[in-house]
Amino acid sequence: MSEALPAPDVITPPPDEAADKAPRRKSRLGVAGWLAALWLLAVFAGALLAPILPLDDPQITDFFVDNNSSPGTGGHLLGTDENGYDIFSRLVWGGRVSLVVAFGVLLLGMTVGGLVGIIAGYFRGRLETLLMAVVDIFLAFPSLILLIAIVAFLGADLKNVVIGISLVSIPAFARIARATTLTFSQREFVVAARAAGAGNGRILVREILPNVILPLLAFGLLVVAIAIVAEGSLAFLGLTSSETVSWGGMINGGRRPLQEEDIAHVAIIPSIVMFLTVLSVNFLGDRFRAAFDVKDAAL
Amino acid sequence: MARRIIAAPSVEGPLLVVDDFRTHFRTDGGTVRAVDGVSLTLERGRTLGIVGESGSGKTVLSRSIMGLLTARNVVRTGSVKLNGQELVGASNAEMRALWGTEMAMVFQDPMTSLNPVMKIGRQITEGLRFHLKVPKDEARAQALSLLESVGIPDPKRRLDQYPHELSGGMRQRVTIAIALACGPHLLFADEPTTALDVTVQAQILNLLQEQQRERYMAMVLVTHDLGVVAGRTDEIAVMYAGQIVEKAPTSTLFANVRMPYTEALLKSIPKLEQPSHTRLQIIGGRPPDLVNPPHGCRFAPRCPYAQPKCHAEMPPLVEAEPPGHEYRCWFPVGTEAGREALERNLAEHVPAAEAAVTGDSHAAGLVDTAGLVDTADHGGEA
Amino acid sequence: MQIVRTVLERVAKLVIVVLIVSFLTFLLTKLLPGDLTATLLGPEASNPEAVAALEAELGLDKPMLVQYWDYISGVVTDFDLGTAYATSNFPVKDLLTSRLPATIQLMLMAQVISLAISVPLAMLSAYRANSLTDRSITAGAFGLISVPSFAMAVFLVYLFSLQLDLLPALGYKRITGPDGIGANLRSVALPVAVLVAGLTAVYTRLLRSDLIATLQEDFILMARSKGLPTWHILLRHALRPSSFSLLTVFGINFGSLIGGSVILEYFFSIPGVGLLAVESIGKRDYLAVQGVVLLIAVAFVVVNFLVDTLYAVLDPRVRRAGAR
Repeated sequence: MSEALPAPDVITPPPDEAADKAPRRKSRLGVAGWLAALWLLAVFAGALLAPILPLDDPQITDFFVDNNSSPGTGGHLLGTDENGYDIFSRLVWGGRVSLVVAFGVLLLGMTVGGLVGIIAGYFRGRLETLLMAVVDIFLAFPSLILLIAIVAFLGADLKNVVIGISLVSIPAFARIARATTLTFSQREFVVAARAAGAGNGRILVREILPNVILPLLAFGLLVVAIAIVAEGSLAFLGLTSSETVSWGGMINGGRRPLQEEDIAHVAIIPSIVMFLTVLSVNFLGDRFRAAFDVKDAAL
Repeated sequence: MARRIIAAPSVEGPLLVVDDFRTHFRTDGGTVRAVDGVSLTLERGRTLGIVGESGSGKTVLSRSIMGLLTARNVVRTGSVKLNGQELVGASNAEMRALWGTEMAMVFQDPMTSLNPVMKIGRQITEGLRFHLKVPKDEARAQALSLLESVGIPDPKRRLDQYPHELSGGMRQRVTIAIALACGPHLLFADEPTTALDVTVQAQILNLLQEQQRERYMAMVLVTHDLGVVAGRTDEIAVMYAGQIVEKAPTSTLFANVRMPYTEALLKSIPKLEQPSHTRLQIIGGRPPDLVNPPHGCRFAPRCPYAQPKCHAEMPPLVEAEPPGHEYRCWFPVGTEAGREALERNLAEHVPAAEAAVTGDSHAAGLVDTAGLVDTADHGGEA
Repeated sequence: MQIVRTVLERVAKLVIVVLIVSFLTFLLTKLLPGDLTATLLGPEASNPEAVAALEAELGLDKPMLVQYWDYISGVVTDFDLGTAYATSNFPVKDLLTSRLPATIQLMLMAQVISLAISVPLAMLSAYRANSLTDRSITAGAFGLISVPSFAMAVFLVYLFSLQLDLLPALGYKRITGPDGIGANLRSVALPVAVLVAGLTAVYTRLLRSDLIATLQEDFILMARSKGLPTWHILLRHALRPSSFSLLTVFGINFGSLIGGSVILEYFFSIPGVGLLAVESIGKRDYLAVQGVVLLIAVAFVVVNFLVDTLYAVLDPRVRRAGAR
């Protein structure tokens, strides 16, 4: 056998005496990673603390300034929107919605999808074929339209939006969970556990689950990013309740000023906030995923 | 009939001259000195065998001589001259003009060295059309005769087939055909038979020899298997930890081995005369760390003859009595100094020495079986 | 013949998927709150006789499966997808055909342009892996993926409509319309640009990572050792074996773009299929919704089939396996 050849750019140093040391996990986040984490922390904190922060009421019109007034006028840090509401305050409140969506998807979508995937991947056979066929059919559905239909069916409040997005995310989680379960259930420690007399339930909980959860969580972060965009899309299309303050809704509100009155900030500011949030989640999710070396299942 | 491409030698002297050649890789863990001061020459039409275990640097050497390593962290120093032209530091364009036409390589695994989604014929004619500007039809005809000359039956059909449709041995013949297409003067064969069935190995080696003779080509045969180079090479160079530790005409090497590492290699080849169930002789220990190689002789930690001087000072390559035989050892095999060194070690119960003498590596404690689990079904045997 | 049998099997599976998707949509629309008859009848809705009469006329009083069967047989026999009662009383088929051109134009332009940009970009990036060029391209792609389409649309409108006044901020002009192809192209430029940004980012990342993996293979080293020029190796040796992930996603996107450019059609007021779906859901026009979903499902499934066939063309090893 010829010795290992250097890859185009980096070669692995030859094995040293202590080759049984655990490989060093690359845990450096880098500047970008810390910035991303910081941003998310700020959004998170703002969202949680919104009720007690000294913010203008996000749904009260300020009659002392024009609608769509630029940042800085009349004490409004980022200006007012098309209804005269304070933009900065709406941004902070809008974060709550994104937060709820994120947790909801992780809770509902990941749990259900993960369960379906793990069961399919572990038990194989007819059960797997059936489950994955159903999953594939749902993946064939244009997800946005499905989401719109679900929200229309259930009614347009925040709870239903979260349920809808979670439902639509289940197939993706199921596929990843199944793929990860497949790799793990072939490994020796599962065979060993079975040989020691462990039943299926025990193996699932003790061996499979702890190993699948981490990559699933890493993937979950990426799904959270998509979920935030999905909620934003719904709000943008005017399909969520007008009671909730949402970034997507804010962008939608900024359409008329942008396209008809040449006023940009009402739409651009929430766009930037949304972009930075999604970027940060994506970035951290990507780092997290790289740490576990999960292969992307072709979604 | 194969077309013979014999170019007139452009300069006098050896075809390939390598002088104090080094190839280092800069990594996060340090600089890996994969090739650390290799010098050799090769004349036209002659065969050089390079032998070494995994990690000796032999594959890196052949690829680095050809200049195929272009990763950013590679540092090559020293001199490699092909027909008088300096290769170290040559530009990419200059190298591309040489690859295929002057030097070529046959790789180890024909399954992975052939493009799986390209027809065989195309893979052969590519070089012809690029380098020699041969028009399409003529290139195809040449490819056909090349396939014939490497012994592929029904070559016309094979031209339009894909690699996965051929057997392992045939695939390797195809890679040989590809390498020879533009008539190189120097051929590197990097473990050409390791990935093949034993029955096919001899055929491929014979083919290489035959082509070499017909084309008056120089060949470098890189392998870990001494059996491959015996009888097929004019000269053998033994590599260890990035250096050449012994170099001699083939018959001299087998008859008059000097370097203990070479001796150990020779001893580890199982022989027919040995009784069955004879335990294989191994060389205990592992190759050294190429980032921080030992100060003295690099083989000293595993050498049966090692003395304090060996650990302290690196032995230089010296010539033995018959010229052309170089070795790198303070206490070489077959000399008075060597015999005394071995006896001293035996007296002190140095494991490597005991294993070398008794032939039983297990008893000498050189084989570490702790933690190994025997999971094979021995069919009833103990 | 083995190949014919495989093809027929595949087609059969596809038909089943389409039928299931269509049936599920049918069920879903039946479950939507809000009564079609109530909408149509208006004040008369409290009159049970009027309701019954309308139901009978629309065929709503038959059992579900019968309704569905009537629908499907109508579709298959003469492409009759019903009539969009709630909205315009046009036949659904006509509605779809009138909305298709805009969506198809967006989709085709976006896909082609994205492919044209991402392939050379990915090759450059992979060839110079980890260099500054590569890292910038990768970072750029990552950033673009993170931008929601409506946010990108806002940026582009801000830049090109407001600041530079080059392109219209909304509206769609048909190719065959009075202002000719120039106006048409200007009206789709921004939505297509948004699509291209997202697609290019995804394609570049996909192709780059596959190319990097391929470039490590032995046969690439062998090709280099033959002295072949770099562009030739990249194009003729590396590209083909690396294109499978890209091809898969490219194909999937044809299906999803038909319904998926909803946001952009809404933002730029482009009368396309996605927008039709949203409007119809809102108005409970179940036949129109079914029509759109059926269209998307068929498109999706057909494209998948084509992509599978393309695999066999690209990789001869697959041909062998499929023919068994």
